[in-house]
Amino acid sequence: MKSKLFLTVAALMVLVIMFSGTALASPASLSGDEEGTAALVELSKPEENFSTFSDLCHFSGTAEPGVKVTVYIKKSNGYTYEKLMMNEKEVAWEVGRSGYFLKEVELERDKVNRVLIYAEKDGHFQVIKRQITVKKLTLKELLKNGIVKIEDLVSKIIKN
Amino acid sequence: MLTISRGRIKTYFLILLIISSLILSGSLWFEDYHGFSAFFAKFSNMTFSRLINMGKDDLEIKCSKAIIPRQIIVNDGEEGHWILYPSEDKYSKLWTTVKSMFKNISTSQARIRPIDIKKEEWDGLLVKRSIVLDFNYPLNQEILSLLLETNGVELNQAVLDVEGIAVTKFGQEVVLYIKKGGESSLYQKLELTNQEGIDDKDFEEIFTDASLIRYAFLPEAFGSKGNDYLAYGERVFAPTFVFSDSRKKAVRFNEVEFKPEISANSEKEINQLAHKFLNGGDYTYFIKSDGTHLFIDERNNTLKVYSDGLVEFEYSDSEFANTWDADFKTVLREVFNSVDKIGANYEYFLTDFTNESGRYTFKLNYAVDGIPVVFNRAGRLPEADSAVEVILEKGQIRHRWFALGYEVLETEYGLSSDHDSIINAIFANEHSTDIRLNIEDIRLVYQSFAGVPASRLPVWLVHYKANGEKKSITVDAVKDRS
Repeated sequence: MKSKLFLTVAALMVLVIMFSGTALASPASLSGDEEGTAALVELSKPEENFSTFSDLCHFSGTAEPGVKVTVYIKKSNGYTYEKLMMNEKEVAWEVGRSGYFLKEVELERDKVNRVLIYAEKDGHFQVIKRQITVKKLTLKELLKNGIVKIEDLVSKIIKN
Repeated sequence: MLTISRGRIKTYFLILLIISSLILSGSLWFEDYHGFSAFFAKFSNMTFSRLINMGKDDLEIKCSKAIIPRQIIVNDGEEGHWILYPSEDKYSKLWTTVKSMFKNISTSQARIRPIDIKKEEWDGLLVKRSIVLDFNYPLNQEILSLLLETNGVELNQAVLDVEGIAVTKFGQEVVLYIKKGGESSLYQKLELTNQEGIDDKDFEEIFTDASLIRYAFLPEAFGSKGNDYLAYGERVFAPTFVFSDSRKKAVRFNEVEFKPEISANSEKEINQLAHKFLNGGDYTYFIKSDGTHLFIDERNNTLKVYSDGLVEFEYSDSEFANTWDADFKTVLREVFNSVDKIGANYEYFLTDFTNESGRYTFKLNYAVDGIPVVFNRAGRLPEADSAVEVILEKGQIRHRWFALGYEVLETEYGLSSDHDSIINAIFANEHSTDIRLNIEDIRLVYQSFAGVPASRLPVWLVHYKANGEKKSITVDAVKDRS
């Protein structure tokens, strides 16, 4: 009886250990020095050293179905990459059966966003780094893009 | 000193009572609306639109409602794109502005020198700060003059047969692009001077409006036009949302209940329809083995009512035959008369028209809240999604339509699908990943199964090719009640 109980407990422990590998959450932070163990994702966007005026940036590409992708960001004055959070949720997704993904991620404006994309599946992982500059809309650009009119500006100056 | 007699007070009080009784009965008459404010809104809208349209030809009014861009694509010059439908205020604002710009050019006596551009430049406008208006058919001289209300002023040849308009705006510099239809497509650029153009605020408002769906332009998002396994058409957009629940919930859709206007089992309803269309004359009546009701009158006019709500009516109009060669306006007037006969309570708009040696085919589609309604007849998705088709040929008029009523329910839902869910659904539909897909179009529609009353939420209608074979599927746009 005792041995049966022992066997059951042992089997349960083995099962827990086996499946815990696949259920492991992505690390809370990464140093950025990690070298991946497999090529899991082919990233189409964002390109390396990408710069934009929009704070919403596309993350698109292909991967094997079931790959979990998590986005990390290097904090200012920080040495590590922390999970990017939006509305208190981590920016992460699992690639569906098509193998294609396209997500929109909000980044910080007027800043060089150092982003790390961490992909993992079956104990293998891959790290991709991107530098995305979200430009501040300068007066010149506001005028160039028609966001501000010169006459509005002049009238504001006169009023003040 | 001002004195008001008791009798006069009574008179005012009586007038007040009469007015309030009229308002209350009015709100009962308009039972699809609720409350005082809705009644006033409807009343003032009616009055206002009547004032605006006063003095206009009825045909001009119908044209201005039915001949509108299928969609307006707004591009922020970065990765953001928005597709506006006719029900949206922002659509109306942009369409009114572009129409007025286009009218100025069309009626300008000054010589306009269009510059031919390559198709690539036209396609590239979608990744610039621009707005692009798509029609599916070329706007000929007659349609343009009705639409732009030019009152007989000769139109500039440079603008005829336009089927796509784009406006780019960088500061004060406004450039208008046109795509001309017809036998060979032509792309041109018109540089405008002293043009008011689009208000910057109208542009900026769209970029920050969380209640609008943000789209990704797929050829741009994937860096090229695809790869060995997945390719995209030239103008395929897919919805995206950022990782924000509030943003998802901000995009709202109404549930709509569709119900057949005619019950194929009700002999009374069928006979009423026959009486209406055959003008109460004598007719012969059959019921075919597949349940189709067939009426033929003494002038050989025929009315067919199918069991799923599809109605076909073919008749000859001698008066119309006499004026056949007169002008295109007569043809157009007859089309709208035909549609009016249906008595549909829908918004409808022209989706296509062709003229093959005097045989005119007009296709119109219903829309609910600006979103097109497609009909899934016998469980097959439509090749052409037109709800109404009118064919005119030498006095012979044939039209077919889905006799379907609808009611917008008060329940609202948030958007809950994006690019990934749509693409995954296509792969699920194919039961394989080892397949070459070409996605040709992704569009938001209401899908109605003809003949079956049902509540419906919007879906994404996807047209694609799997290993060269044409296919269509629908993917839920909303799932969560919230």
